[in-house]
Amino acid sequence: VSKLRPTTSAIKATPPARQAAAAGQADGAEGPAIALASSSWVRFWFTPVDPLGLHALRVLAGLLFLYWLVPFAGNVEALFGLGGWFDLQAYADLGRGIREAGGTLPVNWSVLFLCGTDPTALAVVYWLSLAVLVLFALGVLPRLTALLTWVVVASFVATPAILDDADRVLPILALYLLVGYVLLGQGTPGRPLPWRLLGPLWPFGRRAAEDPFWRRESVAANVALRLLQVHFALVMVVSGLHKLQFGDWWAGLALWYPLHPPAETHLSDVLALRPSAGPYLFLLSLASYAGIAWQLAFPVFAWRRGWCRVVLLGGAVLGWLSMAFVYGIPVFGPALVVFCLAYLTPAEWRRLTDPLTRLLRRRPAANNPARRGTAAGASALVTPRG
Amino acid sequence: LHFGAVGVNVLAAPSGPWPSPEGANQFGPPPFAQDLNALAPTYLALLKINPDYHFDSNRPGAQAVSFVARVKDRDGNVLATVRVPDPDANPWVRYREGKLADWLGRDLPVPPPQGDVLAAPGQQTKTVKVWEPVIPPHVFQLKEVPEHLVPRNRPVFQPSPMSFMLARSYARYLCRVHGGASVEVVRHNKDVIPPSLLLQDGPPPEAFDENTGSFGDLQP
Repeated sequence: VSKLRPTTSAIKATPPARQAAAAGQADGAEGPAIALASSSWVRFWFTPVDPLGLHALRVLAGLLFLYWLVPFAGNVEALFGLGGWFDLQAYADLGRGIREAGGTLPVNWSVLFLCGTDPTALAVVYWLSLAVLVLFALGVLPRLTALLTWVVVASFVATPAILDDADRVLPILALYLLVGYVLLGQGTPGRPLPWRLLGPLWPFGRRAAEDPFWRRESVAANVALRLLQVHFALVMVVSGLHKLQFGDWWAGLALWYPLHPPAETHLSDVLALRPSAGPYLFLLSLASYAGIAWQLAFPVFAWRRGWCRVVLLGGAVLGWLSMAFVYGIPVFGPALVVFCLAYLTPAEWRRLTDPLTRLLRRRPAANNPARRGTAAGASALVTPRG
Repeated sequence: LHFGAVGVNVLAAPSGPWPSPEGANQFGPPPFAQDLNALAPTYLALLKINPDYHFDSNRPGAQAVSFVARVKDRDGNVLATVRVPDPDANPWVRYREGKLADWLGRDLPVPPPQGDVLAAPGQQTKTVKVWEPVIPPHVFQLKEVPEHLVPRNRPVFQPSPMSFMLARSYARYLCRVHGGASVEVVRHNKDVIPPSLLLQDGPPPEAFDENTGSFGDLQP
C-alpha cells in the first residue's frame, strides 16, 4: 500500500501525466486524453483520504447487521440450521436436481454448516456472531472483527429458501469494509505485529487519539470506499435495467401490486379507489418512473456534490420508506441508505459528525466536568480526535 | 478483473420474459458472458458477491401465498397446526416465512402429451404430479398421474421441483419439532389484482377468490 500511495501534491500535478500531456500537445489530442484519464484513474482510486468515512460506515454497517440479525433470535435453528426449514436432505436434493439438470453446483459455505443439526452449537454461534457485530461497530480490534463480521454476514446468507434482496447486498458492504480495515494504516512504519494483524485495541481514550490508524490519511480507506461505491452503482443500474424487463414497469403500474397485495385487498377497496383512478394511476406511474430514473442515473449523480447530494440521499430515504411501507421489506431500505452514505466525502462526514462530537463533549462537561474524558471517548467511536 | 468478474456474472443471468414468436419467453445469457463466467465460477461465490442483482422486488405482480401445515401422528390425529406466514411472528421472521411460502406457490405448466406413450416391457409408465381440481374451480389436490393421461383440454400445472422439495423439507422440520409422523401441507394462494380492475365497470368477483391446493400427507 505504501508503494502505491502517491502524495497528494503528486496527484494534483502528476509529473508523468504532465510530461505525457506535453508530448501529446506535440503529437495530437490523444496524448493529453490518455494522460488525463490515467491521472483521473490514479486520483479516483489512490488519493489518500481521511478515514472518517470508513469509520462512520463501520458504525452504521455494524448497526445495520445487528438490525438484520437480532430479530432472528429464537428462530435461528428453524431459519438457518441444517435441521431447520431447509434441512440437510433438502441441500442433498437440491444438489441432485442441479446435477440431473446438467448444471454445476454453486459454491456455498457457511460457518453455520459446521454446527450440523446441533441447535445448541447453532445458538452459541449466533450469539457469538452478535457479539462480533457489536465489537465491530464499536471499533474493537477492527482488523480482526472486520474479518469475523464478513464471515458472519456471509454465513447467514447461505440458506437458499429464505434469501431476500438485502441478503444479496449485505456481503458487499462487509467485504469492502474488511478490505479497508485490513489494509488501513499498514504503511505506517514501526508498528508491532499484533497491531498489523488485529488493529488497535479500540478507538477510545488518549492512546487511540494518538494512534495514526484512526485519523491518518490513507489510500486503503479510499480504495475500500471506491470499491464499495463502484460495486453499488453497478447494483443500482443492473437492478434498474432488470425492472425494464417487465411490461408493468414500462406501463408505470408496477407499484400497484405491492400497494394492493392480493391477500389484503378486497373488492370494496378497488371500488373506493375508482373515483380517483385517473390521478391515482398518474401518481403511481410517475413514482415508478422516478424510481427507475434514479436507479439508471445513479452513477451520474452519486459522486457529485451540491444538489446531487439531495438527489442521492433524498432518493435513498424515499427508497427506504418505499421498501418499508410499500414492499414490507425490513432491511433493504436501511441498507440502501448506508450504501448511499458511502459516497459522502470526508469533509461532508466531518460536517455531519462535528455537531454530534461537540454535543457529546459539551453535555457531560456541563453536568460533570470530571467526565469530560469519557465524552471524548464516546465521540471517538467514529474517529478519535487529538 | 474483480469488477470484470462481477459484470460478467451479471450479464450471465437469464433475462426476460421477452416477447417472441412463441409467446413471452425467458432468454438465456449471451454465450460470451456464459463462457467467461464459467472461467471463475468460485471466485465470486467464495466472496459471497455472486448474485446477479435481479431482485425479487423488481418482479411485479407476485401472488399472495400462505400455507397451513397440520402435523399428524401415526393414527392421523392432528398434533399441531402451523400457519405460514405466522401473523404473530415478528415482522423480520414473518417476512422470511413469506419468502418460504412464495416458493410453495411457484408452479410450472405441464406440457400436454403429444401422443399415447406406452411403457417399455417390464417397466412402468412415467408419472407426473399435477394439480387436479377437487372442487372446481378453486380447490386442488396434488395427484400423481401417468404422463399420457395429463388432461389436454385445460391448462395443467405442477409444483416446481424447488417448491415440492421445500414442502417436504418443511414437513420434515415440523415432524422433528412436534414428533409427528406426517404433515399435511395445504397451500392458499390468491392471484394478483390487476390495475385494470380500476377501470372496469364491474370487476369480476372471482378476481378476489382464493385457491387452495393440498400437497397431501408428506412423510419424512
